[in-house]
Amino acid sequence: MRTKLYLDGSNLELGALFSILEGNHYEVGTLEGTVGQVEEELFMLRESLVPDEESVVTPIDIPRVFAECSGELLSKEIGMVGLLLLLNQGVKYTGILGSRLVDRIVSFVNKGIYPCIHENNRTELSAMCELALSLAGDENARCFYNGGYVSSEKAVEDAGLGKYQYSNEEITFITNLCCMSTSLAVYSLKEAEKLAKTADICVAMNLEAIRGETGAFDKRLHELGRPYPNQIISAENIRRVIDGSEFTTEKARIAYGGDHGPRCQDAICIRAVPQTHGGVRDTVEWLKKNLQEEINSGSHRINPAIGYSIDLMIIALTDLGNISERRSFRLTDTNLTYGLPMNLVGDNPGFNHGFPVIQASATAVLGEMKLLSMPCAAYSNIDPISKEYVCMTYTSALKAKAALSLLEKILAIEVLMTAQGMDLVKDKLTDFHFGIGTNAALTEFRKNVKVTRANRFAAPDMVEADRLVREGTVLAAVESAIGKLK
Amino acid sequence: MRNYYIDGYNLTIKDVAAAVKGELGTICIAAEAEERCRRSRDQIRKWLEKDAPVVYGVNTGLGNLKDTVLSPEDHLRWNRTIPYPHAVGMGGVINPDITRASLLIRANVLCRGYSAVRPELIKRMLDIFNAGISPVVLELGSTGLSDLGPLAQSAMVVAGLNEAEAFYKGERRKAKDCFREAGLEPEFQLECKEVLAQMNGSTMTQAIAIFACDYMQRLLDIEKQIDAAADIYDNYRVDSREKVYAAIEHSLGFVLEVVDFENNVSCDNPLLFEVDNGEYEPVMGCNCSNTQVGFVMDLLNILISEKANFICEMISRWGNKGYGFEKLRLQGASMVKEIRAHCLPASADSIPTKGNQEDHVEFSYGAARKAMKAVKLYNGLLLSLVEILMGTEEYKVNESIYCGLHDVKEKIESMSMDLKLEHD
Repeated sequence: MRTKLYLDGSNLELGALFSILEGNHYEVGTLEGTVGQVEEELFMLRESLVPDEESVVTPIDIPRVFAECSGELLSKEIGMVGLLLLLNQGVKYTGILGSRLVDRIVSFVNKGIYPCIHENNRTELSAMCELALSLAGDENARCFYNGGYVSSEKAVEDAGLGKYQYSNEEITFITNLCCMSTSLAVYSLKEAEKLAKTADICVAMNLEAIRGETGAFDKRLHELGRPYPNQIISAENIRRVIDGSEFTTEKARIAYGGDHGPRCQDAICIRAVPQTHGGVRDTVEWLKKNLQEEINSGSHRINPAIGYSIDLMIIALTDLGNISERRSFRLTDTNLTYGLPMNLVGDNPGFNHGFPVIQASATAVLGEMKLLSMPCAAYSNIDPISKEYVCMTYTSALKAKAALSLLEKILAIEVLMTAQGMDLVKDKLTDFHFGIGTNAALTEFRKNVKVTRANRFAAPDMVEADRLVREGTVLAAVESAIGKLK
Repeated sequence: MRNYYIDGYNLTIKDVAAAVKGELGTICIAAEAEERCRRSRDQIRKWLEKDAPVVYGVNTGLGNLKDTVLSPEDHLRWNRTIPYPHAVGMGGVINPDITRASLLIRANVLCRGYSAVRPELIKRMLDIFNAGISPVVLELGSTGLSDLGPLAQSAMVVAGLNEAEAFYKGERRKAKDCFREAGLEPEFQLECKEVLAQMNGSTMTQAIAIFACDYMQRLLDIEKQIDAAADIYDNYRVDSREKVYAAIEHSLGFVLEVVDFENNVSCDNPLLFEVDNGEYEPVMGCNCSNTQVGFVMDLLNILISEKANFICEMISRWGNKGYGFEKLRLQGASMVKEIRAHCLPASADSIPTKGNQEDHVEFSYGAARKAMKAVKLYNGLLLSLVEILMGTEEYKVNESIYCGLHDVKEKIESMSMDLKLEHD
């Protein structure tokens, strides 16, 4: 898909950045920038960067000193989003900078050169410096161009662009922006939105397996009782995914025979889902609001509010991990599942072991995730030497990426186990139907991971489940069956 | 004295803070709220007649005893004992202003009508509030997935049970005696559903959260006065201060928005919703879960920690000018670290309880307590700063600035008298 985006410094939308993160390419053009009040600070080199005369000869020596070009690479799309954010700020200041820098970025983007930033950059400044090196065509920086990773020097040569000489103003401008933490935050926002929806699907699948009560998802409890908008949405998603389900009815509970009298209430990890998932979504939405503002306003030097919202979101996502891990746990106990086989063993229990160790791995991953929940903002300080405020947003943003990767695995285990539970319950109630959405989730999942009847190597199934959650495959199957989830 | 009416939809942090101080006059139930409650309560009466269906929490036991059916007569007897096993608590006693605020907040929630209690219960709670009587509540033992312990202790006071204690006119006494002296009925028979409707949900967490928010806003105002007086020297200006403060105020807006929202939600079980024929249907859910409040209390702590960095920097810049400041400087540095330690999020943890039936808890109660402690530490930090500034030659020479700082110091000191989680 090739779509052209005309930026004027105030019209960039998260949707376009999400699309780039999905691997789509945009061509860009520029409109006359909407110059607001020019903030002088943006064109003042921060004191810690002012070079002594001997070490810096040309402006590009500054990013050469501060960039860290080693280690693993962040995804090329994260680099591209960073570049677009830089462009969106650049167009506002062509009156001061001239149009050279903007033209350079436009050529970079339109020729499909993706700057790749190394994970070893631990600060915004060093990441922005590496972005500057990439754009210049420096030999130490990396780019993705024409299907492969090459040095930036080679990329610009192959693309016929040649190297770029920065002016002092341009380097000052770039090192005063926060595009890379913002880009990482946009990535985390997108992932978090995907996982929040996936978590709702997990609950729906879990309800099918345990023939759960649906009363806790009654819209009146949420719309009238405790009307937090995201609580309402989470309950609605789950109702939609299980729509048409016969397993979540009294008829199935009786037919299966695992119940002894009315349930009255399911466990909290099921019935507090709208409140908990909704609360998590509130933090994701808050980050989104802050980012919608940030991608056009473009903070200078520090962007603490983005950091606070990322820190809060990580805490909330950890709680999403907490509640998912408990739902997986219940599936291992025949009493808690109202009669599913102990440990979800397919055939010949005792000889075959089932899922207890798989479940415990969700607990283990959750333990790691909790370690990431300590907010980075708690460590910000005034640097004793430079006397500058040290903003922790870039660190928070990197950490969010790690936390999301762990949460994805916790949810993948719930998908793996609920799919097994659904197949086992269906074994006994062959005439009953799953909901349209849950059926789509199970069918898609089973194309890739087969039901477990006997002992088999667990890790490949888990890795595959992780991939299916990460790539949004299960989510896409559900959405193609019942329409987009909110 | 004028009246202030609550209806379950409009209570704010500011209202609660003002009402506790008596600034809103007498708090009353709004007429439309009373009407809503009467109508939903009529349905409960019908369910208590002969041959009524079994409705959880109406004519059954609670929790695992949900299958035990109770007659209306049993229910009245049962209501006199069922708060006891829920009334867990250890440690110190919660600040009476907070437990009294909790009565008001819960009365407001019940005004929404979905909980189907009698308006008389709401009036009883408001009578106690208006009389300045505060339940004695032991502080430890709530996960925040319902403050069962604290709220059962509070419900014991509302009912006037023998063991219940309250604070009245600064003294801790038997609740019944307080009621007699204040001209209220010593006992109040809680009827069907009215115990659960007081205990289910996290109103003590909410009361603590409101106090934390209110005090923090007041401290921010005070801090602006310090800045206005002191910001005449370059040495007072710390890099990025305005930007970070703006980000903190912006983020505090999110905290306040959530806490204000939570004031006006129905948080107990079952809730009664009207169906077409004028009848009501009971629906079980988990609105006692106040995840959002736990999250924003953790956030509040983070914001305080950020603020504290700047105050600490100021303290170390101005506090290095004499041996007499050394103690204040070290105290300040220590308080900042303690505030940071409180940033360890409560909400990222959960431990299953009650035989795995309540297998996800918020720890929001702990989050709110921790935020309140951070606010108190922040108050101490501001005091250290002002004392250091007042002892510095630069500020001593300018009389109007010195007087300004002196005024601020008095405000901080007077606030630290009230700013506490526990009763002394």
